[in-house]
Amino acid sequence: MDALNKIKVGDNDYYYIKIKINEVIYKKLIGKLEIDEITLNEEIKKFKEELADNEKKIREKNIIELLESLQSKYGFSPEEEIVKISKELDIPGTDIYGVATFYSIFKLEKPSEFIIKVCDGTACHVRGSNEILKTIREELKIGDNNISENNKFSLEIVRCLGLCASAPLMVINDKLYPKLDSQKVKEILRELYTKND
Amino acid sequence: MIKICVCAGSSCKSLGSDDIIRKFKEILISKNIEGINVEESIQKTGCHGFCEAGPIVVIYPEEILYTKVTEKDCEEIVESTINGTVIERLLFEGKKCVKDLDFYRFQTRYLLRRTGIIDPFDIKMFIEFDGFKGLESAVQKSSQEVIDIVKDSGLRGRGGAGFSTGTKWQFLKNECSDKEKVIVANADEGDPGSFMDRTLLEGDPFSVIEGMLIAAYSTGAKIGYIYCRAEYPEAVKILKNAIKQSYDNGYLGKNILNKEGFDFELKLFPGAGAFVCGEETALINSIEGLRGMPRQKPPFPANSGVFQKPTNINNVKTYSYVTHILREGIDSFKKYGSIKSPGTAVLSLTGKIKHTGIVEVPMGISIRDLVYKIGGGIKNDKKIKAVFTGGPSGGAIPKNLLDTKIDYESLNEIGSIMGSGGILVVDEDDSMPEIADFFMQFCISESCGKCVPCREGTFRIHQILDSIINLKEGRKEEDLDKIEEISKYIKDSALCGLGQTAPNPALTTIKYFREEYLEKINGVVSSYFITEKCVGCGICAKKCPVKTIEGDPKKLHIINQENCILCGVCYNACPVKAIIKKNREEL
Repeated sequence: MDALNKIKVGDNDYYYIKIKINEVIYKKLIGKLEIDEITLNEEIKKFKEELADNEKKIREKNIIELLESLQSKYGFSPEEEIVKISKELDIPGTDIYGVATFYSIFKLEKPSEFIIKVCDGTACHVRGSNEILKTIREELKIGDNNISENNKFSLEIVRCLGLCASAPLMVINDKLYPKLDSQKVKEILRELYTKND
Repeated sequence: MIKICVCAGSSCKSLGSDDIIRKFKEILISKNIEGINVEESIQKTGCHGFCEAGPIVVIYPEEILYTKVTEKDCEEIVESTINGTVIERLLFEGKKCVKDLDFYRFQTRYLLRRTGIIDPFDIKMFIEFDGFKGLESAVQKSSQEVIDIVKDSGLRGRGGAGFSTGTKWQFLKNECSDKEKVIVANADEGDPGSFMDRTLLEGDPFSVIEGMLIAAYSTGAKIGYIYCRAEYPEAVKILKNAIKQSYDNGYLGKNILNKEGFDFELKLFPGAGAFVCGEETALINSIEGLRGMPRQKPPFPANSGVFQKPTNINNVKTYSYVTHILREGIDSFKKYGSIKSPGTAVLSLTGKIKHTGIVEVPMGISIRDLVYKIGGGIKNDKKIKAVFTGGPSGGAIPKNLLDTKIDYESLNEIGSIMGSGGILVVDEDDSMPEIADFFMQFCISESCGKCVPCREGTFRIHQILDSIINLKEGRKEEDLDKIEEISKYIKDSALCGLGQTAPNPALTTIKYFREEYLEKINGVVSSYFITEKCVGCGICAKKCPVKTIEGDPKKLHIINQENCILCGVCYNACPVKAIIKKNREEL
């Protein structure tokens, strides 16, 4: 029994408990732990209840909703905040990181002043979104990292905004620019550029 | 009473309809005409579907349709409306009324009957237009009777796979579990080039809620979620308001319609931008706040779905259809379409087509009718090359198969799928390998990465396509067989529907447009030549990206074949069609 008591670490770490259960079973199997079958089963049952409780708690903490609140507060999800949430709510940081990188609306770095989203859905694609992208890259000197030379503009390619009749289109900080061509893009960007210089 | 309806769907909004509404109000206030109430005379509506001609203004009661309206036209519209005249300049092709337009004439508006007419922010208007009547008729029946009606109607899920809705609901009803049951509406419309769900949500949001209530009543569910994609901020806003108004008017919450024990809590869950979350098990994970990766089936959602609770997931359109079926009876629905695919289909027409927009047609209409009668044909009077259905999961339909009917079975037969209803039209200028590669790249960036066939297979197909398109060294005809082989593995072994259908665009384009691939693989098969028809205008020389076209003004030009990169710009630019494509070996 001593062996089992030692394992009861008291914290609520979900994965830790899971590992410990496996450890007990393994020790019993190779004969290192000498307890009878019934006590072992009872103990494991207790562990599992604890585990289920924990699982429920984690499920109640909806990571997407947590990240959404961060996004609306800061405009992105700062690392320190993620670490803080992870400690406070007992969610492994890797889980939060996994969710944050899976969904495209979550950003881990502070966004530029102007976020240019160019739609590259099928309708925009066949109506010339490649040309628009090329023009933006040339005009603002945007490299492979999708950030402009002066760090003021960042470029994102988004998949279909469902406004196919206005194709090709782009969105700059929530303002929509429909039915574009290279010339229009140049004018729009130059206006933004001069306004902020 | 005169009423000016302005379309405030996302598409018209992007073209400035907000400014038009503001301007109309200003004018009416300043004019202060007797008998006209400003708030009642100007109405915001949902999408009219004719997005190409936006922003759209419709004047009631005559139903005069004005297209491409700008702020400058507002004054004139108000005056002519009061005088009872029509502004010819703003009509579409000279047609006065909504029902005169070819775009609307050949449509059957069953599901979209209210979009473009009612104000999506106003529950009272929805109730005025027969809203919640389907629910009222449902609660007078037993839950099993409701399910039987849905089954008998033959309604198939409008999300893409086309599974019988009634049967799905029966699974949930039969599930004996002490856990609460859950109803989920899937509005995560990620297919590029499709916006049917958005049109419905922005035009008639209450009907989706009504349909979910009917599902909840018949299956005994108490909780509901609407999962709407984040890229539709307007739809999210409208849904939030619709849910709030439904609570305020007693259509959500406890003892709905004064029926003891009929409780339903509805929550909106905005997605976070992942295409794969349109797959039902991935959507479940996403609602739980996890990475949106598909789960293994079984257990099916009806047994263990959101938070291990029995769950039913349908597309938003499916729920909306149910309300009309219950209100008007099975026959009203079954009179359209075929026996196996009854009802109507809501489709989005996009690409190189004259009338881009949302259309609703009876199932079984031919693609040709859709493109030419309703869609108005191809832009700039080019020739059609192919039609893609089902987005990245569907396939290409070549022009010799344009008489194929639009229903689940007919499209499956020729290697495409019905999908959610996005129709992309491509013309003679578009390169098929390139479009196939576009879809492949889409699948690569949106693959969740859980299973190897989808994650690695799509990438490998893209690599091969890329080497063919960009004429890289080492490409060979056997590459096409390789693509077909990889596709077979992906289809057989990917975990979810999105993975299994990912190779479809590549497969169908190889099947129907093999020659185009071979042309690329075998190198310089054809070249461009200028014939005697040339008038020497010099447009081709100006447009040539490598400046390899020479010639004096008003004299025959020549393409210097050594430097030509075969881009085809000159071919498309020539105003007199003097440039021809010719096989080099023929010379």
